[in-house]
Amino acid sequence: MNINVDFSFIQGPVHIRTENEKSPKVGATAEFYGSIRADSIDNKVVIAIEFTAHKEIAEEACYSIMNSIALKYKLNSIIIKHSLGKVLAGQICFLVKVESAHRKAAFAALEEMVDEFKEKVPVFGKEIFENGSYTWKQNN
Amino acid sequence: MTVITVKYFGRLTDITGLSEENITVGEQSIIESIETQIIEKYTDLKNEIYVLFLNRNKVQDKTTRLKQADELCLMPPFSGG
Repeated sequence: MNINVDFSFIQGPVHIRTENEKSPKVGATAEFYGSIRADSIDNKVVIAIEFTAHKEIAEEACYSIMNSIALKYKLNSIIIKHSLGKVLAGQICFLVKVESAHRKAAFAALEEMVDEFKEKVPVFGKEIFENGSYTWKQNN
Repeated sequence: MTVITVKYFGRLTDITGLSEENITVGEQSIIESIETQIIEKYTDLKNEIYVLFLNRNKVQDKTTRLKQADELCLMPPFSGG
C-alpha cells in the first residue's frame, strides 16, 4: 500500500490549501490547525511565538511517528507542516492532515499524531509579549 | 585533541547565552564528564530538566566515549505543536 507521508518545516506561518477532489480510495479527511493564541500570562498578552528546532532530529522523530501511525490506522496519507521563526497571534503554526478510507481511523490517527508530536518532536517555542519580553512555552 | 560541538535549545539558551559552542575534550572523555564540565561552567543548568542527544540519538548511556566532531545536544522539554 502506497502511503503518502510528508513532513516539512515552514519559515513563518503555515498557509492552508484545500483540495476539492480526493483520491477515490479516500473516504475521510481530518485536519488539525494549531494557531497562536493571545494568551494572557501575568497580565501580559502573547503577540507571537518564535519557534526553533533541531531540524534533523525533529524530522527523524516526526517521520518515525508518522510512519507508525500511518501503518497502525491504515492511512492513505499523513501530512504535517510546522512553522519555524516568528508566527503572530491568530496565525497558524501547525497543520496535521490525515486521509483514510473511514472516519474512525482518521479521527483517531489525527488525535494521536498531534499528541505524539507535542510530546516527542524537538521543537521549542518562545512566547513573545507586547512589551518585548518573553517566556518559554510549556506544553501540557 | 578532540573537539565536539555542544548545542543548546529552548530556555537553556538563556542560561548559556549560546545556541552552540565547540568544546575541546580529553581523548577518553565520556558524556558524563563533559556534562559535569558544562554544568560547572553554566551553574544554573543544574536546576534544569533536559535530555541529551549524541549525534541525533537520545543518550541512554552516559559512559559513552566522545569522538572528534561529535554533536552533543541538551534539550529541555519540547514545546512545539
